[in-house]
Amino acid sequence: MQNKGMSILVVEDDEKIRKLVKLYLENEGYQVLEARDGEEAIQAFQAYDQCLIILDLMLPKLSGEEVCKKVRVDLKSEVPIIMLTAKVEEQDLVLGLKMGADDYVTKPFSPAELMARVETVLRRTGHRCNKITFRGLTIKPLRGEVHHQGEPIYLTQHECKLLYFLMQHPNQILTREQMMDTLYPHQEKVVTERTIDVHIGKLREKLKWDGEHDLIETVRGMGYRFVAY
Amino acid sequence: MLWKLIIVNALMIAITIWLAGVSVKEFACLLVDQYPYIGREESVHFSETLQYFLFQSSFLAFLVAGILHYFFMRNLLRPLKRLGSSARQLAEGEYPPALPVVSRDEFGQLTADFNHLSQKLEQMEEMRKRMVGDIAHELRTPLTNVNGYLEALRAGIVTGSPELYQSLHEESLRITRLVEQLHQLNVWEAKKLSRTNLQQIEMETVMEECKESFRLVLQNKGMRDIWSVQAAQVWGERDGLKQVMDNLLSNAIRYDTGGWVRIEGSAVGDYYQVTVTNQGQPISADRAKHVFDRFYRVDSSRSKDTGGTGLGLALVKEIVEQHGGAAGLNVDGDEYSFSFTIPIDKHIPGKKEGGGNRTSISNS
Repeated sequence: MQNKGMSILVVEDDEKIRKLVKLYLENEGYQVLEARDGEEAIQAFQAYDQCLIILDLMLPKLSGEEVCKKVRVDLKSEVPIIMLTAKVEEQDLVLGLKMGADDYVTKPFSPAELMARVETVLRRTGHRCNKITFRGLTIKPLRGEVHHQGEPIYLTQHECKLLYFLMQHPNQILTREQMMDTLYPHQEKVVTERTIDVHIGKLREKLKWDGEHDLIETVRGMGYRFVAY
Repeated sequence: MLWKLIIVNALMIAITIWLAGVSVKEFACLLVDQYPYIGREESVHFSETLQYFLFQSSFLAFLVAGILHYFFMRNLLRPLKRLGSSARQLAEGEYPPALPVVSRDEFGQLTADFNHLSQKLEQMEEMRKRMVGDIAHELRTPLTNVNGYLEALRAGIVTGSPELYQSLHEESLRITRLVEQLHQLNVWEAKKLSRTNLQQIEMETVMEECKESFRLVLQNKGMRDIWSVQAAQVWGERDGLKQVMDNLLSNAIRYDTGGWVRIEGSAVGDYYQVTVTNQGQPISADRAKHVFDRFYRVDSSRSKDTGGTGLGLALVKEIVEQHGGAAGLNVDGDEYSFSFTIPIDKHIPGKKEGGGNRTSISNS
């Protein structure tokens, strides 16, 4: 599934609606982060830099409009934003789109329709978002940055490449040979399969994963696997 | 209209001049007839000349009167015409700009009244539009939940569970509550309280009943309640007063942060004042002015966690003002005192005595 690893921030103060949207998004394979008010939304966005924001306009603390402005002006982000709102007047819609929203969905909405809109917006703009997020671990391959729950993790170039390769194929077993081809495409160095094991070992150490099951799983006699869920 | 008036008036003037002229002429002829030195022919000639002059002057008077009248009446009728076209505009649903009040006579008064009427109509329309918008807005969130979850259930994204049904039921109850309060508000607005449907009520019994009905809720919430109620007789409607107490207490409980609520009732002058004080969620000063407005929510996100509809206090205000009293909010730090007054016994409701529209009552 193409949606895998795409992270989406859902900002909505009504808990039931938030849960509903989350359920639908997760069903489509997105990684979902929730925020209850405007301030939480800004914090979450600064920490995780999601691929898309679904933003309610009437929020406590900081209104949706202010969040939108902050994201666009202060944080200078081009992240696609879908506004989710009970304001149905045409002028509100125009204002929302002018403020930099990519789409505007009015309540009451059909969740299936919202999913279709999310997909459309991401199809148009998603290529800008090549970061992958799983279980709170985000990798931005172009910048070579890795974050876990917003905390940066410093990896070497090879480790980063390896992790990206693994995360590109979540839950899929990758052989050591495949990994060697990715890391050293021109076979300029004589490497053994041991080298990969060493890299994986270091990677595990640096990720300091203390969750229930390992992020990177060793599959005996075959290779490694990134456990996405 | 204009022409009819001109012709009638000009005719009247012509007739008056004609009558006056004829009598003068007849008298002159009589005098001439009696004069011995004037012959018969001369006398006839004199009479004909006079007759001729009389016709001429009557016709001239008719013309002059008509012309003068035309200009005079046109000026007089112009504001009336403008008023007419504005009224037609109003009937078609447009709101004409205010007409200039040029004179201080009946026409000027009428124009001023008309301006006032048009302004009032525009305000009402504005209010109605806002109200419909607000209702639609308030309905959107619960409807999103009901529709969304039903769709998810049908699509198999979520599986039904008692908790889910419970939560959906809450949403539909929210809609029901909104509709119910709207209905109440409508009923109270249409109701014109008069002496015939008011009874003498012992305020302390109303408060006692209220205390009894809230005892369990307060107990479950673990809130302390302090009552100090003076006995007094007021003119009122029992159900209305209970509704007011009910709404104020529900609010105090819903937005409570301090764990206590104090209810005081005492006679202040000609009024009986009830004050419900609690330590609640903060309300900023500029928002405190609007708490009695319909659909006004202190929390701008209109969050439904608290379950309010934004109509409770509007209803309080409506009922209290129908009784000839006033409702108000007094803020002291984080203590909020919602109070209302009801005239004691002898007062006739409907007559708004002492600022009936007061929105703030200073608390002693």
